[in-house]
Amino acid sequence: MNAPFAPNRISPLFDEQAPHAAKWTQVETMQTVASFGSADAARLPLAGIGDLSFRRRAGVKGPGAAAWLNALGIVTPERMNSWLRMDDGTLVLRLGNTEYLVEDAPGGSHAAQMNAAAPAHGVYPVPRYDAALVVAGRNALELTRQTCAFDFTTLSPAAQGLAMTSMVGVGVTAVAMESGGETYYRLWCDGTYGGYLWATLVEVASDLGGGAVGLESLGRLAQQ
Amino acid sequence: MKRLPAMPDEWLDRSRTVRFRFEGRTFEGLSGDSIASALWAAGQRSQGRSFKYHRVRGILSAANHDVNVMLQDGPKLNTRGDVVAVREGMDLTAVNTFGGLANDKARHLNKLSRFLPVGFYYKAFHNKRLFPLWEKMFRRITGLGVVDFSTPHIRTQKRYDFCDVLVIGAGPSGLAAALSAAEAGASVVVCDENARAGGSGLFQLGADAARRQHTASLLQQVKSNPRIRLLEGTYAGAYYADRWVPLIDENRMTKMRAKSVILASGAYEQPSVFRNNDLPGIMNGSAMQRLIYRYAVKPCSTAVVLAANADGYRVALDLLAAGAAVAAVLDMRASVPASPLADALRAKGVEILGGHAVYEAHADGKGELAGVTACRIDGAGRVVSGSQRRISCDGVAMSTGWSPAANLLYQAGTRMRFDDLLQQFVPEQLPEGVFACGKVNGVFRLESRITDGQRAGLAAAANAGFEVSASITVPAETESPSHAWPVVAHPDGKNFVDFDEDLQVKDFENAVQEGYDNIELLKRFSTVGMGPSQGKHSNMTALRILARLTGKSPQQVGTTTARPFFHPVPLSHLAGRGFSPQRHSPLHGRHAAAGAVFMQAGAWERPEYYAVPGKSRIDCIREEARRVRTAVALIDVGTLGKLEIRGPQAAEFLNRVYTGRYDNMKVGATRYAVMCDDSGVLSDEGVVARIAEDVFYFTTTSSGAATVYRELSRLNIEWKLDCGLINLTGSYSAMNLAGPASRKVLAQLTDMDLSSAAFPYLAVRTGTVAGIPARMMRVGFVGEWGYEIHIPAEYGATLWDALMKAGESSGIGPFGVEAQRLLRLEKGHLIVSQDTDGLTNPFEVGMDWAVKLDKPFFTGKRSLQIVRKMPLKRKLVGFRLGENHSGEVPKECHLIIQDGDIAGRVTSISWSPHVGRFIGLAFVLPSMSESGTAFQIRLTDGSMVNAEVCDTPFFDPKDERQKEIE
Amino acid sequence: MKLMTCPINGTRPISEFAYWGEIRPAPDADTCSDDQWAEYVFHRNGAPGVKKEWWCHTPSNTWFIAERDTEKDKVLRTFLHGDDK
Repeated sequence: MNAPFAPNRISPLFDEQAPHAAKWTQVETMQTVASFGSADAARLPLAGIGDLSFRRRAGVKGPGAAAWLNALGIVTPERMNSWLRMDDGTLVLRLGNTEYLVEDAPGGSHAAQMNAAAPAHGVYPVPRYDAALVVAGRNALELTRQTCAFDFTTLSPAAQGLAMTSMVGVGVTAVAMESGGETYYRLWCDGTYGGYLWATLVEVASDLGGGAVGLESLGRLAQQ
Repeated sequence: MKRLPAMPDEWLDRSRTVRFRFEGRTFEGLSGDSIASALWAAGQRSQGRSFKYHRVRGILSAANHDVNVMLQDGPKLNTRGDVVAVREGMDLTAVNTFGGLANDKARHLNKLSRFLPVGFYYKAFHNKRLFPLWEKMFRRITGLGVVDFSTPHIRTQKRYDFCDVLVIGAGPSGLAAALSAAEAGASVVVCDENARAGGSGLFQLGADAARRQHTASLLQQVKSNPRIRLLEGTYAGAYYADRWVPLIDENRMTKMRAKSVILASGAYEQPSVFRNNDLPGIMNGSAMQRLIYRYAVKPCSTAVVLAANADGYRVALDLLAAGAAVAAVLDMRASVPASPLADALRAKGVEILGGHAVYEAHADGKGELAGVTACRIDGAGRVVSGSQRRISCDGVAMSTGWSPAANLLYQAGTRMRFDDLLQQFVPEQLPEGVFACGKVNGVFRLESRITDGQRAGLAAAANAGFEVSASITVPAETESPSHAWPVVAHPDGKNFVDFDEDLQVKDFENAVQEGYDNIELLKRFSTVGMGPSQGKHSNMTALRILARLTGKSPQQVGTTTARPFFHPVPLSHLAGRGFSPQRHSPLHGRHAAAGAVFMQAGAWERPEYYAVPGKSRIDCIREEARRVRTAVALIDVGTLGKLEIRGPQAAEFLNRVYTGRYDNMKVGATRYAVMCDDSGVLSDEGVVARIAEDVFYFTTTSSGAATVYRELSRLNIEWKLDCGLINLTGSYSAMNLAGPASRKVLAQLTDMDLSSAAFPYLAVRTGTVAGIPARMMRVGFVGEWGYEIHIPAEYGATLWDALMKAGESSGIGPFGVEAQRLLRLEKGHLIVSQDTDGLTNPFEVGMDWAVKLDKPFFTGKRSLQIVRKMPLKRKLVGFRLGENHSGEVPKECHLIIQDGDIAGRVTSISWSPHVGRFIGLAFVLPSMSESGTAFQIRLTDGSMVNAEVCDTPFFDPKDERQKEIE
Repeated sequence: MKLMTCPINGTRPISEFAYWGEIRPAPDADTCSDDQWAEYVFHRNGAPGVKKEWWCHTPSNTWFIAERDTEKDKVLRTFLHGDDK
């Protein structure tokens, strides 16, 4: 017999965030923290850690991956280790040479498309369960200085470069983006390390006057 | 009071007085004073007691190149009084005294010095019976400072940082280097250990205001240059590979990576060596200048300047300008070179005596300097007898030579050579990306230092990739800044070389006489350079003495190894914030809510068992296991490595990396898989499932997941097979629903045909469970009917909840790692790296069936062919203890003893409620492996436990429970 | 801390890398003697000098080859397998 309910997507950060969450919301069928409390808004300009794990994602790699994506109408970056944003807001990350991470804009369906399409020769689908974090605020760079031996000033929003590196002992993919004239960072890591990464960055952020920021206070950062 | 009127670069804030206590008395200083300068200004010249002889000591270097003034500041121990700023309310005592500084009971050791020669402790105290007595004495009298065990644990935030050019030292050459590099476009960081930058450019003045202006102007430019970051109160702790330098300040450590590193660290002034050169009032010439220009403190009323370079003459002029009298300048050089400095001194009525030295210094009743005896020395440095002459003074400025502060150059691998003119080691071959300028580079004239800095700055910028066109040459030095033999012999000794360790000249003579005539041996036997200042003020002089004693040149004698750190680094800085990655399964919250007691399994946290109030740990585990055997239970196996391989040659790839064959598997089948390394040793195991013709989904051990994926990726690059590898360990969740009622529970959540015809034992099927796309395998690890369900991780907890709800009426519950280990043991299944070790091959553990030696190739094949020809050394067998065993139970790794020799060891052991006996697995000699063989296990206390070999599985030997149920 | 340059991801501290070992040609398993095979499996060349080695940039799982002078502690060059010209 069929299951009596449609399955809920559960965030890799759920267990770690639940004790601190003040208000929840549902986005892309995933429960997400809307607010950690009244301090959220004040934290963001200094050192805010936001959570975009709810976005829909799919990965693929292999010698045929780029062509396969293009055939699905997904534009792929020309340079290795770079990213682009399609007109419909889809984020496409080229990880190294032949691997891609596609992240849907709100309401997007490219990930579902990829999951439904049959892989071709030399195309290897990569199921993903990312913890996706936003690190913003004027102390964001200092936060990376305290957690990572990679120089984040070498990532510029304009050059749209991407770095796979290690942060607080965990493998992360990092990009720099721009909002309102300020640079902020987006990080993706394996969801099973997500809770640890989130909790550690929140602790460092609170030393810098910031901390966890719920979806409601992320503003434009939740849109791009 | 010895406070001078305001100096242009003084560190003082005269509007703020600071009250503090020292040795029980209250003192007043100014904000910006060091503890030593505040005490000196108040007339307190005795500021410490020496390590061995407990002689009274005062300021020596005023630069943290010695520890004459080492203080206990409440719980803070070993405070360097000559550089630490005085603070309101400080309560300070000198370390290493018994009964206070003034009346230190141990001062009598000074008189016993004849019995405490160098290395005396190697020769005394050999009586075994008395040694505990000596040890107690040593612990009391050889420590410095007192540890407060209630000190809170402090961690500071370490950070990383980056720049194009790092300049270490903000004196004239360092500042010039920074500006040149910045002008070429480089991002520059300049650090200086002092509270304020400027270095010797702001105190080696000779009362010449214009001279100061050079450095002051450079400093102003550096501070206003947007490409330069100036870090004062920050020292470079060490040099690590590829230009990685820890910068230490009061609050934290910054790990700086630079493209180019410039050492502009200057030089350590070396105290001259004459009898009683350690009396308070006798100090380095540069120490007097620091007192005058940084702290506006008059060093003394009447000084004798002992000189052998232009620096000494400037000290004399600075003393006169500060209002002190200079009774004489004793120049150790045979003839005094003509110079405007000498002329200026003579014009002020100062007597300059060439070819003279200090024979000995004299103390007053307090043990402080009251005068010296000067003498003539000949060309070889020998005292001309009868030439002694007494001079009253309360200060002696020693200015006879320098040693380059080249520690970080050595750590970087610089090859140094001894320059005879300069009488100093200078860099001969610098490593790539490392540059030196100023005194550490052997350049001493002020104008030349600035030019040298410009040269180094441009070279550093060029190395960092910036265009530079200028070419700069630095004029050679014409005067030696260091005397070759600043040592005056005296029959009664007490002419100190290393002030930290109370080492005098005769200690070196004795050491060499005993055969310690090599610089490394001399260091360790005498302990020269092993005190808290690590030889900063003593190593060069010691080297000169050893050279003379052994008839070698300084180049031949060589230097000992300079090691991190340059100054002691607080443990709080080194500890930083600890980062220990923690890996959690998507079901972690569910486990916590169910009362899981977690255990660490690599980076993962896994439920060891689920706590039930009122039940002991062992009872909980047994209850969980019982539930699996009698009803149904659920375990999270999401930590397993989960890999997928796709492509036309996927099967071929698996054939090569595992010992078994996989190309002949049907779609929908699973097969056990064993992996060996090149030497035929078992390295990993798992289950391979054929999902489609060209898609295999396979598992690895939890601890092997990352390394197996990495290594298989590498092999595919080598072999270039037409397939791709994907790591799903973190993106898939997996759980095992096990027990007689498992099918009933699962049937509620899926439309799939679960009959044993449609879904036989060891098959894999894909479908949906609770609406979630799933891969399911019927596997046999715990020996019950069950399903290992693999789903995308984001639905993990959802499925767990659904299964728990569906299983409610069947009495479902979670089971943890310990219960699973018991259940698998009852089935005789091994766990890699528990029941195997770094030498175990498949034949030793009964896995001959899994090794297909007829395959053309697999990793380990060739070695296994060799191993198979050799007799087995051991076999893994099942065993059980006696039926009514009582008393202590053996543990894993307890040895099996036969005929007094080791015959094997226990690898797993547990009480089995289902078998009713203690059962286990063990390695035994092949001769003992027959079922029924009796053997003995030796416990830790030596007693023996009886056991017997038996067949496995222990429980349900025909595996009927997992193949078909009623 | 030593730096290493991944051909794809650039220069990073050595903590981002895993070292596999020297690339050594294996004898033909079908024709070599047992002794020759054992020598290949268990013996390593400890002499200082320039070695070609497998290294992996672990955050990106990028395998590459480094030519390293173990006497001078210098990495001469790094390249992807197959790019050795």
